[in-house]
Amino acid sequence: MSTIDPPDGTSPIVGAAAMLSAEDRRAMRDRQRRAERKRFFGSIPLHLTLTAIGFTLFLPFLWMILTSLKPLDQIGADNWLPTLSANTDAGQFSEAAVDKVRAVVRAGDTPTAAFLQAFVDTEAESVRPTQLADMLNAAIQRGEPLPAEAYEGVTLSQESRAHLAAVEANAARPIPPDLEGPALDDALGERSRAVALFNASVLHDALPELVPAPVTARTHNYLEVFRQIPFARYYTNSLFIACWVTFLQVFTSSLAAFSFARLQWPGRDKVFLLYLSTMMLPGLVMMIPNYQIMITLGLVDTLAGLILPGAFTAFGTFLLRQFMLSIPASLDEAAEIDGASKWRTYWDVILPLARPGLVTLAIFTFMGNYNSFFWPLVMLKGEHNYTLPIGLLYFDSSAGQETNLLMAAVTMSVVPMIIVFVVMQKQLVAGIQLGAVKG
Amino acid sequence: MSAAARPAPPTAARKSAAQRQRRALLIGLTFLLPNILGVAVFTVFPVVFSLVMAFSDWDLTQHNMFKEGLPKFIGLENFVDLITGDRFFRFFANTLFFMMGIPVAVGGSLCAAILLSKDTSAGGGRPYLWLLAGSVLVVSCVMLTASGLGSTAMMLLLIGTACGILLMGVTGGLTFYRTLFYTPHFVAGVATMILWKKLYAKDTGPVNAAVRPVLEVVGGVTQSAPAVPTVIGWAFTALLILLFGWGLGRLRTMRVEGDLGAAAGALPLVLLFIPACIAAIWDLGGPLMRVVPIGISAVAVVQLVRLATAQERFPVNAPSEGFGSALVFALLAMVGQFILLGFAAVALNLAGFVEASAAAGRETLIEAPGWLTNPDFAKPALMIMGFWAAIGSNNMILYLAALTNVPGELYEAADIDGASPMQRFWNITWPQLAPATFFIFVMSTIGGLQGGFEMARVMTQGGPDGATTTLSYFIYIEGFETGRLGYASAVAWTLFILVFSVTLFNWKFGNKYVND
Amino acid sequence: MKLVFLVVSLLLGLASVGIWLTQPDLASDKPVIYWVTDRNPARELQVERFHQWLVHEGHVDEHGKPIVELRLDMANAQVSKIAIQSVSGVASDLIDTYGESMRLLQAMGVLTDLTEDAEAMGFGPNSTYDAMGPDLMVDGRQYRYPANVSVNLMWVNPELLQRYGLDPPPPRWTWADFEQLGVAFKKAANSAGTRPADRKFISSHLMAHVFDLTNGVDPLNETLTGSALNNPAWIESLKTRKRWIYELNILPTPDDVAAAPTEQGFGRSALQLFGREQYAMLPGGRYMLVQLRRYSQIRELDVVEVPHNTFPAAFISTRAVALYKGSKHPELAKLFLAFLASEAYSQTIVEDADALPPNPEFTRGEAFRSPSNYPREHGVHEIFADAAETIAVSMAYSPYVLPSIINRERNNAEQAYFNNRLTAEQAAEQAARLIDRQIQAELYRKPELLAAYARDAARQRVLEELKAEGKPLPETWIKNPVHRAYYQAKGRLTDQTPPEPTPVVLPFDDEHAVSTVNESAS
Repeated sequence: MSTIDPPDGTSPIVGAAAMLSAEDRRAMRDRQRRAERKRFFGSIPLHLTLTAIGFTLFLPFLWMILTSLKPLDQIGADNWLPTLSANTDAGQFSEAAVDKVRAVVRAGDTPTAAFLQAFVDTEAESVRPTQLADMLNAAIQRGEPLPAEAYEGVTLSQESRAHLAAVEANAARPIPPDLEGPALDDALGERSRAVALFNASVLHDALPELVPAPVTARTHNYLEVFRQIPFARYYTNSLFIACWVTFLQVFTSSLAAFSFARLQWPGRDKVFLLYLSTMMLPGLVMMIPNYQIMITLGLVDTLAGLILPGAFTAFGTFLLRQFMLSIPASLDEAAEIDGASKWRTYWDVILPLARPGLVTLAIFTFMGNYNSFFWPLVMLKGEHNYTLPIGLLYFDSSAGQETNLLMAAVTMSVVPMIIVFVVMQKQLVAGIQLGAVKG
Repeated sequence: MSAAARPAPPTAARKSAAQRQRRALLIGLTFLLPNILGVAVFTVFPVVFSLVMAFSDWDLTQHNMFKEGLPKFIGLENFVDLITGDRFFRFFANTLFFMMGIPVAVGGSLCAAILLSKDTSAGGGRPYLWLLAGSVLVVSCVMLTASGLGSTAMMLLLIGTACGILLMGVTGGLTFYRTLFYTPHFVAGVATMILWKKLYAKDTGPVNAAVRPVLEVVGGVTQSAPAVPTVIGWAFTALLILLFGWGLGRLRTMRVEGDLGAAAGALPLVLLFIPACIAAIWDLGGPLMRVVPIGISAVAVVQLVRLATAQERFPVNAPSEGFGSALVFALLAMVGQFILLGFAAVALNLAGFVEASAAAGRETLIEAPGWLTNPDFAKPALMIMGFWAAIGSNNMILYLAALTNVPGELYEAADIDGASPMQRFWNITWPQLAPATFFIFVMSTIGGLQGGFEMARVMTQGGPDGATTTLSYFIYIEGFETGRLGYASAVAWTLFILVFSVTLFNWKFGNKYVND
Repeated sequence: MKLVFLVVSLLLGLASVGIWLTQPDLASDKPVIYWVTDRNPARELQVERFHQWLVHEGHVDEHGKPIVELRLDMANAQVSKIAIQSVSGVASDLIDTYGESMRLLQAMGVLTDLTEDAEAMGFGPNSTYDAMGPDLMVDGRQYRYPANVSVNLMWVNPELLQRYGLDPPPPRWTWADFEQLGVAFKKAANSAGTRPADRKFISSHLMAHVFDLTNGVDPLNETLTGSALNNPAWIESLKTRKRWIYELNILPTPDDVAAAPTEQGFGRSALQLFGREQYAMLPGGRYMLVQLRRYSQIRELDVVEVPHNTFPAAFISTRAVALYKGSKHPELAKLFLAFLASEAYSQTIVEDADALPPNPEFTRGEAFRSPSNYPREHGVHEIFADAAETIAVSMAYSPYVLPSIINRERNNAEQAYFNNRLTAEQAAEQAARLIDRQIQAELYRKPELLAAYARDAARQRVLEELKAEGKPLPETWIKNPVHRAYYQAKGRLTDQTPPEPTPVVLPFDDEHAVSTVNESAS
């Protein structure tokens, strides 16, 4: 966007410049440089402001993404970053297996490698999900490191040795007796964390297929979402519904908008006003009558029952009508003189010109239906028909409140919207430009 | 509003007018058919149905397929119930409270749009900017790794993110910023509501984690120097009175310049006085409720005297002249006054609060609020979330589009006249944006009156203590939780009448404003 | 443009086919009944046992297979959803109900009256706990049968208390002791710098009605004709709880609960925090063992009664299965209710500790009292079973007002007081006034209730006089089970019924509603 053309040799200005004296050229270069410098420094505050606003707006998402990588016990910590943690889920175990570990714990013993191996051997078909880490932490609940005999014959990994060194260093350095309050809590917490890390790490060395190593970022939260709920199905359903509604809405609304904006027929404006006023009644009260309609049509608990009511709205017609009004009338007149039918005028003349409008409507409709919450909540019975917003509630309801998994699910549910927007955003701004604002 | 009348094609000219009309109607309806069928079934029918039901005692517990007897026609009884009961007005007040956020949000969108419409390319300096951002990013990454993910790592991460945004902004230009700004809006929905619920958690949420150190400092300062917050409180009060004076002065100027009719000025004038009245009615802490009305009366008297003595430079065309413009100013001034009033009340009460809290021997002098569990904070909390989502909303996109439509010659002319940036904005940009502003306010009002259902359902269940129950959530409670669908329909239709009259009002006066 | 439309419609068509093909196959060669219930892994086992039971009882087709297939519907357990589905004729056949939701659904008329079938098929009120009976019925008609029965006692982690030098409470104890223990525990267990997420409390949040019961307070009056919240005892209850929650903070505030990272939402977070030893006690029923068995940190478990002032009592409640009126296979669905009363079903409850089995007969055995796998629980089970047959009281439900409305108004008043918007007196007055107004409105809408109401309201007046004079009260007039149990315990009941007073028409100040009704009714 530089106002001075680049000296690429072909420019006539450069040709002229060549005729100038060396001094003039230097002066010109100076001027050019000054202008660039001014432009450079001038753009800094703007960039900084935009970055500051953008950063603030982005913060909640940053927290969301980082939280989705944390283990459950680190949620709510002041530190947003996930830190190294021994608490890792380790699949499912049968009641019998769980009872065995419990029996050892109850007896006050620490499970040995031999015991754990036996435990693994008896592990049969999984019945109920249980957190191994919880059990093992309970097993070593007195916060002591596993005794050496527990990992006899196991080659300690480098990590385990590092953790062991930390534990030993802690043991060698007793807590000052005058420490109290938060400082004491911190010191104690530090110690028990070191012990937990060591234990988990050793268990991982001994039983690598069962006990995962302590990790920092837990990407498997994302997999866990898919394991706990049929997330892929919700995803498909949501996308499917949003795409269908968008397609139908764009198509039928453009037809209706064409009729309202480009055709003359008696009573047209009155019908249009009626259309408009239906937008002002809160949708909630229409739910019950609509539900009855769905029962009559036999569409309760089907995806079609979600698609149909969304596909025909006054809003889309209103929006597209505004666009089509701003297309010069001479265009379809010309088409008509050429003998084109109304359909051809619509299809070949108006639709291509209204493209930005169609894209705008498509984005709005897609967003609205992808996020739509209450109608699906009322309508759907079977879990295989659930959409994302309904599915997300699973992690925030009586069935469970696992914030890390919830955030992982939310992160994943947001992705398609960002893709849709990035792909279409140029069209969007250009599209609104054409009309919509004019009453 | 109308497509141009076209000369009839030669074949049709020979037919009679009636025939042509019928044909036009047929064609028009054919195009309309797919959409109107759907709208009739899924929108018009339910609308009519609910209208009828609003006058009946339809109750799901009484009238359903397993019970005999149909809903009775009970005339206006539902509406009488509504008006005599106290709940409707309480929830209506909640709704209005939430709607006070609209001018602020629209203002934010406008600012964002103006920033985003600036030319951000750095010319030949771009490589420098690249270098700057890149080096900061690299340094922060290195430090991040080196520090072993301790608590300082979080700060580094934040800095790194900011630098990353800067870098992307420099490379991607406006497209990147625009996407970033727009993101909160288009992902808004159940997902972000759940996200904000976690952000607002009292003891574990990051919002309070950020607020707590600030409150600690404020508490410490207040305890050691109780005069400081009091002085700040008075400063806010003074600002409030100044803002009132500015709003009134603006109206006066418009009047003197002949831009404001008598009828059009009435409502804006009333709006300006509302915060002072509320300060006087509510017990907002001793001196505030005395000083604010007194100060405002004084300012008002001065301005009115000036108005009375001033010469009207131009005659006013019509009594309704300039309503839209004056209304926008008055709304902005009103919301601004409310915000200042809130801050002033908090600041003036702070010293006493800290003292009491110190006397009670609390560990923290000012505790971070339970954003969604304290009735005083729940509404602002939801409004802040709404603001976050609304800055980069469709409104920003509309403003962006409108800004690109402002003819550049106007600015060039202003530059020649040596206008300041402020003058450029008020005299060129703002009037040129009028149609967009009008459209945005109409849509926001409709949305605002109908809004708040999903937030209440997902985040607060309408609580605490009914503080976040809006009219639409009220409809939900009545219709879906207690099954009184007749009553719920009555609430909905009352809301409809409100929305409709506000829209009509906007349309009638706003169009004038747009055409000014 | 054409191409875009074509491609899009083609893709969407393909996607539709894909979605259609991947729909789960729901067809079955025999009748299918659905059961709306909560998300609990134990349900699958119960379904399996039902199918076995059908074979065992001879309900088989010609191939020797069960004549009906039971399927679970775990995604629709919200009341408002069930309500909408059931009035529209599309609800599932068997519906899990709780006290509140059963009253709502019964008022809507969508539940089948089971009284005669229950008698014939052996799942009548006689086959369950005595105190449970009223909760299964509305106006003397039975609408559901328990899937489990819960008595609300208090779980204790004695080791945790002992760790801080405190003695575990005795089986029967008072609220004064509770407060004392709570303050001592809070002081001992939380050092100055404890993170909010790690704070320890004596007990999880106390449900208002649990606390009120042991004071003989109920939201409804003796004859269920009006609110009884506007009385000194409830005002005292409000104040006490506010003191415990916000001043002494021996019970967690809602924010404290929200602060703790838990895997389970709502009520169940309490359970997890008890399991993590952040709560020393936990009010609840035997069903909590389902979860508690997973928390092996707790070495000992004990159960005591909920503290009381002068009236030891425990609420008995149930998750009970009702039959939807629109069911296509009502006769087959009734088989499932009969199954609930059988030993085969009770066995599953005995094993997985999901509260008490519907039939008290099955709590007597050794398998129930001392499960060999769980030595930690020995001594706990019989306390629940005994309480269900001794101090249990069922909740009060009025025919004149939905329980959800009572809860709503009570909670609103409580929140208004806890948040300092109203004083305790104002809050109590508001709750009582709004509940009474709802009763008036209900009478106005349902004139058929007027006769019974007029009679009961007149009795209430007489009762008020008798109460004021300290005279014994006629037992047959007192319909509210809470009050009846309370007066019984206090020895203030008599068999003698005073002469029936003239029915009142205008018992409350809001005269307009009832008088209008009266005119229209006459």
